[in-house]
Amino acid sequence: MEFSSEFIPLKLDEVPSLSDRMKSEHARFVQILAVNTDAGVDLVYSFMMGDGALQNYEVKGVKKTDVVPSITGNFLAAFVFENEIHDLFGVTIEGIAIDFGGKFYQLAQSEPMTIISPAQKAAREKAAKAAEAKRARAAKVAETEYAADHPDAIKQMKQKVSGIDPAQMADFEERFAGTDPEKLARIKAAFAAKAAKAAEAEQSRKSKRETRAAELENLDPEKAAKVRAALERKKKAAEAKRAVGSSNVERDAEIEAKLAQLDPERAAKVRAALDAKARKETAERAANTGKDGE
Amino acid sequence: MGKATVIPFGPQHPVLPEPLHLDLVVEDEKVLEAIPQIGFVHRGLEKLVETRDYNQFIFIAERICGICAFGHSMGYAETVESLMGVEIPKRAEYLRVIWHELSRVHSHILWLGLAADAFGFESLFMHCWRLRERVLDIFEKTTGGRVIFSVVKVGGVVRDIDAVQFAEIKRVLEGIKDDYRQIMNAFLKDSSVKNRTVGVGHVSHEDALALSMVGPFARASSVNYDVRMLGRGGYAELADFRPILDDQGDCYARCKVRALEVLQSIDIIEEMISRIPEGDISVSVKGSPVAGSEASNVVEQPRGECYYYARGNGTKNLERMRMRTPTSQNLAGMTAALKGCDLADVNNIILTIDPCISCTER
Amino acid sequence: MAYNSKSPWVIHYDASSCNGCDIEVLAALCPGFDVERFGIINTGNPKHADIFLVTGSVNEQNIKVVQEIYDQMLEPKAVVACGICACSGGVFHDCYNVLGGVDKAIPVDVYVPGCAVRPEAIIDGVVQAIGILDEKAKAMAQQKKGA
Repeated sequence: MEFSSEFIPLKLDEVPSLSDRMKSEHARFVQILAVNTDAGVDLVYSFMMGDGALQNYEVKGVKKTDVVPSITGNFLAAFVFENEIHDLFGVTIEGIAIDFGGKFYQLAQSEPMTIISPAQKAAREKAAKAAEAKRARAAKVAETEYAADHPDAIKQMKQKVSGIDPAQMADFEERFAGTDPEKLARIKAAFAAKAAKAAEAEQSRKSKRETRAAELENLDPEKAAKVRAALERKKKAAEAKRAVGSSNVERDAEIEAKLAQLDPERAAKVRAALDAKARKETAERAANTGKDGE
Repeated sequence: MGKATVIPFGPQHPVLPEPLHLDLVVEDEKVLEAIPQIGFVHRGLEKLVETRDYNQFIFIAERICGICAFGHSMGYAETVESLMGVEIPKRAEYLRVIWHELSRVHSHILWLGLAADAFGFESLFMHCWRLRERVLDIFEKTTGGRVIFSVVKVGGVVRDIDAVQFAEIKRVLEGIKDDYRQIMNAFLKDSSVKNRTVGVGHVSHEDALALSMVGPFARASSVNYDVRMLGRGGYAELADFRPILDDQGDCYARCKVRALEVLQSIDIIEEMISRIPEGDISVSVKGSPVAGSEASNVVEQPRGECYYYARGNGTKNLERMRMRTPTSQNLAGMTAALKGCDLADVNNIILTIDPCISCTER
Repeated sequence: MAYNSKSPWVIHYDASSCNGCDIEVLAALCPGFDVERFGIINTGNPKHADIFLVTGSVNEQNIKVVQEIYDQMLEPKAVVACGICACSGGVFHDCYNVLGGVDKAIPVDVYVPGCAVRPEAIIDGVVQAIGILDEKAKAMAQQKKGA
C-alpha cells in the first residue's frame, strides 16, 4: 500500500453518483470539509481506495441557494460532518440521516466560518495592495534596465508624458538623487500631478479666452471697444504689480546694506533664504505666463 | 413490557474526562438507542488561521487536544511542508517518529487506567498512571514539557536528543516493558475483567466497514487498516510493520488491541533509536504557500487516523486548515455499539471507544 | 472548628478544555503526586464536593453546565481555575465561541496559570483554596452565631 493524494474537481449534481460509485468500489469514507471563499463554499469529499490512494473530490462555489444532497444513505458516518458544515458554513444539506436541525453546536455566532471581521478584511486588502506594489516594483526594475540601455528615449518620453519642465526636472533629480526609489516615485508622482493640474488650468483658461474672444466678436462694436479697454486696464495693473515684485532693485540695495551690518554667518543664511525665495518666484511666474494675457 | 424513558448522560460524569452528552433511550435497564450531543468543547480554532500565520498556528494545533498533542503538531507540520514542497532532514523524521510513538505509549497507558476506573478497578488506574509518570519524565527531559511539548516546527524539529539521552530512554523503556507486562496480564487475564467486558458492545466487521470506523476501535473488529502501513514520513524506515488485529469486536478485544499496541510502539522506538542517522534537525522555511495550492495528509494518532487539509492563499496566513480527528469518524460507531447494552455498561463501552471530544470539536 | 479543610473533596469538570490540564489534575490525584494523602478524593457528585476544579476556556454551550454544577454545590465552596484557559481564555481568547475565562460564568477563588498546568501548581492552588474554605466556614459560623 502506498499513500498518494490527489484533488479531483466535481460538480454538485454528481455527488450522489460519486457516493454510489465509492460504495460499490468498497472505498473508505474519510471526511467532508468546507472552505469559505468569495465565490461561495467549496466542499471537499475524501475517500481512500483499497491501495492507499487518497482521493479528494472538490465541489467549488456552492451558493447559499444550492441544496447539497446528503451521502449518509451510503455512509452513515458522514452525518457528523454534514451537520457541522450546516452549522458553521450555512450550507443547506438535505436528507441527513441524523439531522440535528442546526443545533449540532450551540454557537455564539451563527455561521461563524463565513464571517470575515473588518480587521481581517483590512488585512486582506493590505496584502492585495502589497502584492500589487510588488508587481509594480518588478515592472519598475524591468523599466530601469530598459532605461539603462536607452537613456535618451526614456527621458524624452517621460518629460512629454509628465509635463514637468526640463529645468525643473534637472533640479529635482539633483535634489533627490539619493532617496529611496519608492519615495522618489511618490515625489515624482506628486510633481506630475501638480504639473498636470497646471496644464489642466491652462487648458481651461485657454478655452475661457477663446469663448471670451468669440463673445467679443458677437457684441455690439461700441460695447466691444469698452470691454476691450477694461481688459487693457486690468492687464496693465497686473503687469505693474508684477513689475513691483520683479524689479525691486532698490529694495535689493536696501537689503544688501542691512546684511553688510549683520554678523557674516547670519548674513550668509539670510542671503541663501532670499535666493531661494527669488528662485521660487521666478518659477511661479514662468508657470503663470499665460494667465492674464487676455 | 416496560416504558421507554430518556436518561441524560453527561456532560459532567465521574468517568468522563471530557464533556459529552448522550440521551439514552432506555427500557428497563436496556439501552434502546443513544443519541449523542456534542459541542461542549467547540472553540472554533480553525478560524484562527486568519489571525495567526502558518508558523504561529502550530501552537494552536498542538492545543487541540492535550493527549494527542504531539500527533496534531506533527500532522500539521507535515501538511504545511507538503503544501510548500519542503523536505525535512532524515534525523528530524526519526525524532518525530520517536516522540510520536512515546506519545502513543503514554496515551494508551492513560486510557487503560481510565477504562479500568470506569468499571471499578481503581487500583489498576493508580498503577497505570504511576507507570505513565516515567514516560512523562522522558518527555520533560527531552522537550521541557510533560503534556504539551512544542518541539515541532514547519521544517523539522526544534530540539535534538543526544546519545546520552537516548541511552537513558532505552533504559527507562526496558523498565517500563517489564512493569507494563505485569499490569497488562493483571488486566487481560483476570476473570472478573473478562466477565465485564467479553461480549459487551459488540460491533461486527461489516458494521465497522459500513460505518467507516478507524483506529483500534475498528482494528478490534478486524478492519485491517493503520496509517503507519502506508509509510509516511519516518514510518517508511521501519523494517516491518503489521497492525494488531482482533476479530471479536467487543470491549475485551478493544482493550487487548490497545494493550498490545503499547508493546509494539516500544519496539518501534527501540528500532528507531538504533538506526537514527546523524544530521540536521531542521531546514529553514521561507516565503508563503502559493495561492490556490492544496495539500492533504493522514497521520495515525493513538485513537485512529487523522486527516489534515491545508490551502494557501499567497500570504503568510493559510486560507484554510482542517483537521478531521478519529473520534468524529467513530461517533456513528459509538452509537451502534451502545445499542442493546445494559445501562451499567454504558461507561465501559464509551471508554473503550477512547473518545477524545476536544479533538472532535476543535 | 474547620472540618472542611481536613479532607476536602474535589469535583473536576472540563469546560471546553484541550484535556491537557485535565490529565494533569488527574495526575495530581495519582501516585506520582498523590494529593489523596491529604484526604482529597475526586467525586462526581457536586453535593459531595467542597472544591470545584475547572479547566478550560468556557464556550457558549458550557456556560449553563458550569453554573449548574456551581449552584448545586453547598456552602462553603471554593473554585480553583486550573490552567491559563480557565483564567483568561489562554491561546483561544479570540475564538468566536469562547467566553474567555471561567470567572465570566462563576466566581473564582484561586487562579492557577500554566499550559498545561503542572501538578505541583495544582496542589499549591488547592492548598490555597483550603485556606479560603477555612475562612468562609469561619464567616458562616460567625453569621450563624450573630443571627
